[in-house]
Amino acid sequence: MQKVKFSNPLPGTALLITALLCLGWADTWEGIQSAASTITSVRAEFVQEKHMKILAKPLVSRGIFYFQAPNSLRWEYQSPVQSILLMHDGRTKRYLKRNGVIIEDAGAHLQSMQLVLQDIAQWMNGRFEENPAFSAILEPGRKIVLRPKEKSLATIIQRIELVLSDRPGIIEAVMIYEGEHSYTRFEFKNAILNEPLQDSLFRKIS
Amino acid sequence: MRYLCLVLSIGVVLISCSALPTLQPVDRADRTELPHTCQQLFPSGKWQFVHSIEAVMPGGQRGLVMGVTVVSLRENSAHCVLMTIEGLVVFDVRYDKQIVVNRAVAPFDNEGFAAGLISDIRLIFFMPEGPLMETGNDPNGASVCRYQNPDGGIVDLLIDADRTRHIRQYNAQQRLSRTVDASFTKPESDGDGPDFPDRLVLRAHDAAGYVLIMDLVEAVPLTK
Repeated sequence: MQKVKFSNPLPGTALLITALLCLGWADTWEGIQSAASTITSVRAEFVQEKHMKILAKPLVSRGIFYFQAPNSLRWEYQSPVQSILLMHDGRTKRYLKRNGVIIEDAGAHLQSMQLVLQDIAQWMNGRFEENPAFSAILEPGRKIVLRPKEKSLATIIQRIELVLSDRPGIIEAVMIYEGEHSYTRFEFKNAILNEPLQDSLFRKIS
Repeated sequence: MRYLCLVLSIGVVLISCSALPTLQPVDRADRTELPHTCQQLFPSGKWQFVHSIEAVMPGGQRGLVMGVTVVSLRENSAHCVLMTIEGLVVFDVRYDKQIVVNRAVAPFDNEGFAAGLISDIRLIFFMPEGPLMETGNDPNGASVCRYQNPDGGIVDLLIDADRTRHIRQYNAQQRLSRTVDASFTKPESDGDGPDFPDRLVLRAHDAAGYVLIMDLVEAVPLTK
């Protein structure tokens, strides 16, 4: 049995993915940092596929997200559940929409999300080496591999792989591996960079 | 004084609602048909269910997880995985004669959580373990199949006229311990395959009472 005492880091992973999405194509860390410095906002659709041995077919979720530099985020699931995570001015909240009623999700994971926020600025600037939780390796084929440094985190997430697009500032996919037979794949499409976004997107859910 | 009377009256009503109701006899045809109808409330064969599960805790706090449950009536086994919306698996438990926890991330790692979860899964997806005691109508007119559990408790399966289904679990002292209310929001299926409720609401009525609101995302047959 794998019994782990660790705050849920996955909502933070959503932020990580978003931050990484704002990075760009590059073969070097300097190139990634340079591309990241040109990004002011991102809007993109995402498809999330959960693969597990227990699932007869992958569980597919879809949504849209918005990012605005330096660290405002709206990560919105549209199906199969409606959930919106808002991050703005150092505050993070998650809401659920159930039968037309909006409820605040006060899950225990919010505390860990706040901790992850501290790393956002580093990720935004492409400074993966400065993230204390993960070691980062840039591999050929525009791939970044993040591995947890702490054993406690490694029992939850084995590694994260990011495949950068050939279009600077865009990544194609993120895979989060929890084990040999369990991983989540995020695929991004229709990304729009540097368009003006209203502040209210990150403060209000409607 | 008037306030006290009101409180006492509400208390009496609540107590009467949470105690085992007496059943009124049904006619002969229903007596024959009802056990079969009750049996059909549960999935036969092997199925995989995906639900979004909203948990309402005693303090009123709410949280959402996704639940994948594989149940096999023939093997009397269950496998349940809970994960965050983002896909992180926070709990993985298997029941096959005994409970085996494969993964437990805080706050799902407390002792007793696995046993409680498996107990709830069994209540929702499996026919009651014990024999059928009686059938009848409850005071609200619902058709009821009443089963005696091996632990001395009782499980009532209720079917309303509007297709709404309920499970009432009573402990050995005949106090209400769990209720499950199943409802259909979509039109009745065309008969091509079983009809699973779109929403299940499980309420735990003990001191650490909680509510689970489970919305069906998909049901996949794993046997032909």
